[in-house]
Amino acid sequence: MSEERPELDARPPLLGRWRNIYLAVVGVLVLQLVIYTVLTKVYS
Amino acid sequence: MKALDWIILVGTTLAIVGWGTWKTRGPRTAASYLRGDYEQRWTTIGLSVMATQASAITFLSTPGQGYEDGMRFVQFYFGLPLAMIIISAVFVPIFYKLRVTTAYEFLEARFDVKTRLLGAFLFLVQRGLGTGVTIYAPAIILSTALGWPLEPTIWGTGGVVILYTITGGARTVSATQKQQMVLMLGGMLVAAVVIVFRLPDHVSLPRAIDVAGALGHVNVMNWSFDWNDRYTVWSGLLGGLFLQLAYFGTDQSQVQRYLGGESVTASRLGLLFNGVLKIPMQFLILGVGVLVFVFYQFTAPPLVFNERVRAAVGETAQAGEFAALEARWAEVQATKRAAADRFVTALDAGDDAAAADARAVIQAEAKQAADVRKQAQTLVTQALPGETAKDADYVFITFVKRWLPTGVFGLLVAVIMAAAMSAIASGLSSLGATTTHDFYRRVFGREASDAHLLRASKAFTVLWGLIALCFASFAAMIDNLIQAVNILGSLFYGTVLGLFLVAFFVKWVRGHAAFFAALVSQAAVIAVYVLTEVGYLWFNVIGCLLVVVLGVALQAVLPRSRAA
Repeated sequence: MSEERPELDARPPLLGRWRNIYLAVVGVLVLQLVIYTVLTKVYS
Repeated sequence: MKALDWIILVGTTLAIVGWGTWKTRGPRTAASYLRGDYEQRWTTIGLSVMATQASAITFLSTPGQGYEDGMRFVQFYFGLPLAMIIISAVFVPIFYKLRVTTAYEFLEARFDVKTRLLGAFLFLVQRGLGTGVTIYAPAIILSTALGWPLEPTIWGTGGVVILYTITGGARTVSATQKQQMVLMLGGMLVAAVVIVFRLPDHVSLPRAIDVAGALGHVNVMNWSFDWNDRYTVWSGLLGGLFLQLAYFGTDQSQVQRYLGGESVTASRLGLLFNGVLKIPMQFLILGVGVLVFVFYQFTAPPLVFNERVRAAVGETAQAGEFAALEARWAEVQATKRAAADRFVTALDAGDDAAAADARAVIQAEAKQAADVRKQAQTLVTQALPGETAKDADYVFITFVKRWLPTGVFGLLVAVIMAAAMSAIASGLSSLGATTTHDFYRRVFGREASDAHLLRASKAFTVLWGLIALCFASFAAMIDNLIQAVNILGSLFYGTVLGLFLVAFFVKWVRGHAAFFAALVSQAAVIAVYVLTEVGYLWFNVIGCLLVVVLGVALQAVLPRSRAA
């Protein structure tokens, strides 16, 4: 199927599984929340 | 604008449009025109998705919001990364598997044709009007601030966009947006650096942040559960998730950007790239506004940023009263500047007591300044009935015009024009695609040849361009235009998102139940709007939840034989 339709290729380019990439995106979000919270606390 | 500014503005615009059109030249089929040929790389998709959302208003209003209100607006985007994950995991593989050209085509595959047409119709109404505003809003601000004539600005910008959009369709729009987004990000970075160098010699970047913090402008996070506060972490995560899911998952102007990817992987990476970069980008744009705010702590800002309004008030009976307010404004600004200087010097010397004293004075004077500005806005409303007194949209462009060097000024106007053109192009391209694919082809032209459909697609794109331009030309006659269109969008987004969520996650609900649930929900949302004072951002949540609940309930009572 994927040979006939190369656009269906859904292999993640890194981290092995898409779940790990999604977790990395959530991790970046959490990191930003922490940084912005510290920034707000320091300058309030 | 000086000659160098014009060269940069016209040069970058022509280079981007010319390169995008040349790069995507070649024979077209209707499918490649409407969706692309499964060839976009993830970087193009990511930048194109970002450019579609970043209209000119983003670069005019958001720094103004940072100036007036600090950094807290960034919380509005906290739900976006989560929406990108859900769309990547659920929406994208199904859209690719079914080879859909528009998002609404999926609704027919999952439900029936009437549900598809309903979803497409709701999109056309709100995006058609929205694209008119996307043309009008920056044109009115640029014409006022830079002295450009309004009508030629509207028709000139729209004409160029229509031309390159019908030349290459979705592929050209995406290729052009990639360069436009690089210009936008680069331009705002340059602006941030130049503003820092424009600060007085004794005010370093860390001290600028100290001053912003003392005046409550480093207020990024609000963890409270105050439902009356529009921007909190929770409203951003929850409300933002619904809004961004609806926008990126069901609005064809966005869906079209990632449907032409070379693979599911490319589309997912493009969306996730947006999920990672969007919040820092908004942080940067708001930060530029906060830096402008700090700059104006050491240099007196105008009492009213809209120069046309300021001049018009001077011609009215309230001119004397306004002049008195300007004199009072100058006094307050002078006292505030002296206190800001003392604050920075005390911090540099490590004198905490002196810094605390100076901080108290700055805060008191800032309160005085806010009062004077409020009085001026009230006076403007009295002197010029029907004129909007709020001028946050004019803060950044007025600052750029007055204080940034030649060349950088042209670059930032180019950024604003690039943002306007990218948003208009994706709007027109998606409107043309939906009209052609979901209505013309599906209802009237199933046997039409590919060449016929290609011609029809281009004709519909031009038609929508003309409708948007006419709407933009008459937009000044409608009060609170942007709010009116935002309300219109929120009225429909929830219902469409509800349809898609039922389609993806509640497999046993079928066509009739989904369709009638959507109709009833839409009527209910309109009733809530007419009969109550509920804030319009909640319409998205109400409409979506109603479709899901009613869809499930109706399916439970509908006879199996009648279920589509």
